[in-house]
Amino acid sequence: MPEHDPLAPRAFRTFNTFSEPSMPADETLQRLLTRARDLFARAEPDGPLVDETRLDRTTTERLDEIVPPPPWQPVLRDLAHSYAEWLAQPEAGSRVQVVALPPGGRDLIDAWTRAQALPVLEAPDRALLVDDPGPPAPDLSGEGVLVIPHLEEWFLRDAAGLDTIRALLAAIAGSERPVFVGCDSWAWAYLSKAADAAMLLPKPYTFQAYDGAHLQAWFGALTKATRAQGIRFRRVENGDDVFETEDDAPHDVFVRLAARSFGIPWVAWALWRASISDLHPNGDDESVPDIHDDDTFWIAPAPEHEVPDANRQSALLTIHALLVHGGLSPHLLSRVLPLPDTDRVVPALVAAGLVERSGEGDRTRLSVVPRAYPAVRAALGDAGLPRDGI
Amino acid sequence: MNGDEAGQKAAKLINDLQDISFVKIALIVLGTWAIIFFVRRTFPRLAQTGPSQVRLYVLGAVPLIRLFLLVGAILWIIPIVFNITFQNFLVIAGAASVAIGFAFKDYVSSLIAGVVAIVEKPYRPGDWVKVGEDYGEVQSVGLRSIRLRTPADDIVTAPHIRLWKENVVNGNDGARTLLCVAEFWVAPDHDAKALRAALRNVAMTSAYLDFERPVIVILSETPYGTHYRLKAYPFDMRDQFVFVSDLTVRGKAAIASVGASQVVVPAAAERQRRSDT
Repeated sequence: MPEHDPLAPRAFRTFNTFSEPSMPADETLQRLLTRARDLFARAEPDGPLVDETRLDRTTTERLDEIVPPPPWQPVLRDLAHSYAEWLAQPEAGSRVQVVALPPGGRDLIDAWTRAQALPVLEAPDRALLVDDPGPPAPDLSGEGVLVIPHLEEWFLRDAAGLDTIRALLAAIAGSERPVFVGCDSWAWAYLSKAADAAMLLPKPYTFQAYDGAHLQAWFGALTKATRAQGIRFRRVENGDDVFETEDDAPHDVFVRLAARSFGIPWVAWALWRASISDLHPNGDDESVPDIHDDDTFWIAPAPEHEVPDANRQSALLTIHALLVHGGLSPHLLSRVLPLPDTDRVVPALVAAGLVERSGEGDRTRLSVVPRAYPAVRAALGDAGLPRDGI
Repeated sequence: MNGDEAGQKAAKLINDLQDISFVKIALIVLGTWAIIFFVRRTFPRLAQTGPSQVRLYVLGAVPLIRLFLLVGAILWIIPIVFNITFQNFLVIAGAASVAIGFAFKDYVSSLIAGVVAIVEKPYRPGDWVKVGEDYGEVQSVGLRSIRLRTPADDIVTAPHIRLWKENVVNGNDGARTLLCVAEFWVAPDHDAKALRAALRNVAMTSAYLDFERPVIVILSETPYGTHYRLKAYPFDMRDQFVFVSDLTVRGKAAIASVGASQVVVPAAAERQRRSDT
């Protein structure tokens, strides 16, 4: 593939060189003005070409056809490309490889491990991490590359919950076996201090940020079949077809999407899906006289999520705990928080679209919704909570 | 000096009444007051709602802006009222010195200390300071005094003049966080190494911890037990009390988990400890 092909796989780079795409200046200014307007309750701005009240959210089934999962598909290619050489000759490079990914990329390492048919060292049940005695010492014996896909699952932020991760890190450092370690970026930031992970393991790597050009190419490829049927994706503000650009520069929609998602593909994927809307079939067509009869999906900016103002401190601490652990069960979440009101905060966060539940019964897991990640990351930073290095 | 000469000098000192624009003076005073009022109302609100990284800068700008506005207003009004010459300046300064020396000595001393405080920044709005026995968050820095909100939610007004006489202890000195200490006294017969590690774990697993900053456990032997001091930083200094409470609650459990027991310091020993420190 030519080097300028935006879909060509790109090598992973060290974690601290991740360079998130910047927001265009006018968007930044617009956001500041919006915040100032909210603060002083001034008048509303001018409306878009198509009024938001005429837009319906596209169904999940339809979205799965237009923009199918998995949301990390291009990063899987990057990952395979980056570590193909090391897998072939682990002794030629660093014996231990660490990949840190932002929240939401959990299944990516699993998919890569399955594709490469590599042995996996699974984490023990998290509830056992605080038991006395805890889980047995991790066994790294054997030959060939061993994958520890989720380092964040080896600890619990509890006074008794760090012993197992420390034992694992010491075992990795003391072993001679090639080990590939996957870790959530928030957990890595925490473990670097709490368990000296940064001292015992080499520098983590991560994917290169996906800018507007890469997102446009990826979403263009995903929607190719849909567009071949004559369906257009038009911007709600002015009716532009977002995949029709006159020069090589990416459409403004994707530049903004890249900046808003911090260059994280699965966040951009979720925001992109949230921005695809249908027009009411019986709507007032006069407002879009030239294009109302197109078979069109309308691209409206995905709704901004906000951390609830009520009991904000508890909400932020809850979200932070979920990010640091890469998701937790409700029971363990209560254990790692010093809050008496976790049972009430979680439903509020779920209702606000910031946190989602998956699994049932004892296997219920709470995690941050990828689409809300930009909002919660900003809110946590504003509140001064320590964040990941990306 | 006869009465006519004194009258002529007075007439030269102050401009003729018909030449003084009282409307202009009123507008300057009103405008300055309005801007100060606006700044005092909006800046704390902006600091509260905005990012915590800029909170202290926004709060700290209030006294500076007010000082500049007041000095500007005074420098603007003086030439409108007075006929400024070197001789008149000496007369005004002399009269002001007598008035200040007899009637407003402490008040003016506080004002000057207030200006010094704005320049030297021993405390800024948002800082946690201890002046004498008073500890609290600086709510505002006025020209004459500061207002502290204590942990008991009392408001203490401390004149700047105390700056000349007392030490000012500033817990964070403009930073977003401050060092918190949870203290424990433990019966000496225990595994100190295990307890030290357990207490460090307690801090490292606190939800309020700023883990970018160091966590330290210091211990020393005292006549009434082993004294542990668990030192760490919360990510926001406004959480200092809940942070110390969290460390204390879980620290007690950690002490029990290694088979140690806390000791109660007798009142006499506590008095001795305070006098020692």
